[in-house]
Amino acid sequence: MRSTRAFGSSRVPGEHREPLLSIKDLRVTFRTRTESVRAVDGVSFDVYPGETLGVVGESGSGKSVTMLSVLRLIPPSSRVETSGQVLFGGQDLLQASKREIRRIRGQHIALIPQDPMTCLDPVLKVGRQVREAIEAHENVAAGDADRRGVELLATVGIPEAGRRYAQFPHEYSGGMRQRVMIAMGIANAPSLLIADEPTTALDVTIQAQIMDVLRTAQRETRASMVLISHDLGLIAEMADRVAVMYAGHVVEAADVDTIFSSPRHPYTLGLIGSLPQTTGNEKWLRPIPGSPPDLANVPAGCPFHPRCFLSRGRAACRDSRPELRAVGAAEHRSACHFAGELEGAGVLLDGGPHEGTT
Amino acid sequence: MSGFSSYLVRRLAAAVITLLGVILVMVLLVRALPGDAARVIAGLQATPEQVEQVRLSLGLDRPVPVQYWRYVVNVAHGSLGTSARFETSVLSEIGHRLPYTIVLAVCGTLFGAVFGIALGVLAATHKGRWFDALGSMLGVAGISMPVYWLGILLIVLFSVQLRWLPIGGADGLASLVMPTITLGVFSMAVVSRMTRSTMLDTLDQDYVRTVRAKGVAEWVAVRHALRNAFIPILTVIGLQFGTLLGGAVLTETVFSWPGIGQLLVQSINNRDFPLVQGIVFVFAAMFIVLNIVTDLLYSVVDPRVRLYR
Amino acid sequence: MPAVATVETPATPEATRTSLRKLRTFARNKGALIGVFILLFLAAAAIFAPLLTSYDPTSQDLSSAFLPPSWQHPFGTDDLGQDILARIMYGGRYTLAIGAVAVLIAAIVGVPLGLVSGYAGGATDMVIQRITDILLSFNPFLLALVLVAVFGVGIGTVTIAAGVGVIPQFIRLTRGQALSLREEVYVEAAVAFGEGSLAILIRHVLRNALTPIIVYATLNIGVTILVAAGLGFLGLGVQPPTPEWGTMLGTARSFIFKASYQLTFPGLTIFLAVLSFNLVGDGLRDAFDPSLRE
Repeated sequence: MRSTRAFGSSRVPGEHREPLLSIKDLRVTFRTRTESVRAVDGVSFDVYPGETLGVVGESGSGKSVTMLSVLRLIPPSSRVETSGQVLFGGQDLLQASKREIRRIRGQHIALIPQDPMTCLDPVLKVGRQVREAIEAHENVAAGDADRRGVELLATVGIPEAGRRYAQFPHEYSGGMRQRVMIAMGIANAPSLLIADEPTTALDVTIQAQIMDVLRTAQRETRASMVLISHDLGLIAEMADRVAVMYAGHVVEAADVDTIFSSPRHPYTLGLIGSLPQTTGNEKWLRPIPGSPPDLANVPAGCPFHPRCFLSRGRAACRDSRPELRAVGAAEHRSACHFAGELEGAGVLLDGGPHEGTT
Repeated sequence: MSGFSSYLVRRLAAAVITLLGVILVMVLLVRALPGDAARVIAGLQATPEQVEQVRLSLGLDRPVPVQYWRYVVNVAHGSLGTSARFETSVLSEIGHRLPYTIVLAVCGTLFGAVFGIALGVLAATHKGRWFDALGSMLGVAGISMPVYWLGILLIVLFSVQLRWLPIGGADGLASLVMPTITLGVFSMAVVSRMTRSTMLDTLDQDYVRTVRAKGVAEWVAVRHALRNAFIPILTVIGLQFGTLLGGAVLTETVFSWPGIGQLLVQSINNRDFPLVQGIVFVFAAMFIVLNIVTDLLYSVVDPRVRLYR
Repeated sequence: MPAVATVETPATPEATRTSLRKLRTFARNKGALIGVFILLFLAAAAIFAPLLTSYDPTSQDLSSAFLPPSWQHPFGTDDLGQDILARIMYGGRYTLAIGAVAVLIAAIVGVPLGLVSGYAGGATDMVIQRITDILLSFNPFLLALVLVAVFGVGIGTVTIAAGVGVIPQFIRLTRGQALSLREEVYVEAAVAFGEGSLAILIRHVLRNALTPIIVYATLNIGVTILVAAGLGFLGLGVQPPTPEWGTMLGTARSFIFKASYQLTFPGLTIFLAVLSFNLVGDGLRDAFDPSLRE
């Protein structure tokens, strides 16, 4: 577990480091003819060099949109309003010129997208597409680029890389396509990898392999990684720090041990608690009651309060949106009016995923 | 037999069946001619002997199945009968003029395809802006435009007023310009509408986002999208050819272009039914061949398509 | 016969609201509105022609032939001294009527065929499909041309010929509807209740298919008008002196040098008519059934 974690994040408490990526108050709203959907509603967090930040949340929590906005990759057909700042390498990516963003995409920040089945151009050979990732940022001869491409495919564990290089995506399996996506992501040794649900579309048996590939890739390139997932087990295994998102907000952020041992937000508690237990005497699953809010009509106050066991209908929860505030240890923040009441709650969860995962 | 050959054979067999159907329709129609078909074909000045001759040579004295069979046999032997008016073989009459029609049709299709795709891509990449609105207005206008009116307007402008281009006939490249434009405008409008909607669809796809994420220029992403959009666009271009053939008849008339379209009109006016039959048969055959060619092109454009299953 | 409960899809307030909403969508479409206006304008000119002009469209007066546009003759006069504007207005009756009737014929023939083909399936379906394919392998204009060649010119033949070309469209459309509706639960329920197949077909299938049929009809009137006018242009359609727009254009062609103004207006009106039907048809389709976009 901890020993297999990528690139250790041994931080001395109190030590101040410069974040590699700093997202400040990001808001992304989609406007259709009839409504405005607040997909990301004031998100701020930092990513430090060499670490893996896990971003957890249900579908619709805004985790993918946040990271896509970093690279300004929201599809052009949507009418999107973005505000806030995304600081990287000394500039605000949201304000950068098109040429600047293109320079950063693929070279400094790379995206490993969500669904490997639809992410490759079906009419071009795989090798050509890998080569494209290289040629986008370097003036190399085609032959050299091809050679590097084949090496990349081998690095991510594709057997017979040379032969496979000349095949089409439909001749690859899902797991292999995901490996290709990773290969394209690390092709230019970026300093930040964004892995969006890298294992969600894959079989359980393949998932572990893919995570190994990612781990190796990250280690070899010494990159930071933002790992987006709704799979808590994955996060527990891979991440150094965790940000929990709900309805377009970050509701809790802490290092991974703290998040699982002493969560300070009812939603996080609910998430952990809803995991199936392999130990203990639980007979039933404990889901969080209710469903995520309609992002076109976000309720006032805390976005989670309609489903919150802690709220108990208190006025503060209904009326004012809680800020992300420090609770407990210095780097532990939670957006709950009554986070203090959850102190020691982690103990109540007998045998959390923290011990159970492999 | 390899998969591909057997596919080809199957398509050709289906084509033959359709052509047989076309011949049947034609034969039935000639039989349905009000009055005495042989007399009509021979012409009003014909003597009774000539009328009889026509009747015999066309098999009009025999029952329909026999007439039909004779025609099919003739076709299989490469003959389409004799023109009543010109007294030469239908095949040679058509043969002289077919190249002109093909040239015109090909040029018209190319014109429509090239400009249609260009306009469609531009409209899709500038969606919502003035170019897009202009493009869709032109698109609707293009499919509403009567071919012959456009041709005439072009003649009035470029031949009569400006005297830049010849009025008609088929000598030299200059005389090809206006007919091509006239014929191609409708096709261009249809293709551009189709291109725009397909491109809008593909530009949103995940793999285009992946391409952008690699940090390439936008036009590279557009190229990826276009390559994928090509299949439905190709379908439309292929379908347009059929419409084009119809438009060719009118265009050739307007510009006195010596193709089989003009010949068709003349032969209808002359009641020269063998010739009419022959031309219709050739048109149908061209259309069917084109369908097959279009399908074959699919497998080139899209590696996932394997026509033989 | 005992009273059998019939299965109805009731017209709920919900359904009416949806229809109203779709109408509003249609109204918001600028192109569609322009189309409606042009159509009304042309139709009005055609219907009220006797009131709007004092000229007789078919009376010849060779002394005033080839007069360019003026106050007296806003569109000029043609080779036979007839007032072009008057002929255009009266001509609208022919061109528009031919287009509409042709589509009507196509629908009357094509819709039942398609329904039968889709609902019955089996051999009937195959036969009808083969016929549709053969019809489709002909360009509608070529088909009309051949029919006119065989059966002669004149307004009746032209109308039928123009209609025949678009029959396959309706067959395809209703066949598809019938195929999908065959699976619908309420149809099965109706069968279980003992309703005859014919009643089921007519009641349920038609009601659902009505909107697409109207959309298709509108879009295809443009096609039939172009076909009919095209035939007229070639001299193989409606014969002079009847002022059909295509025919007018055809005769005017001989005088391209002498009187080019004679060529502008008949073509312009054909264009406007087809344009307006296309705009309205597009608007209807986008508002009522966007799934019809290929």
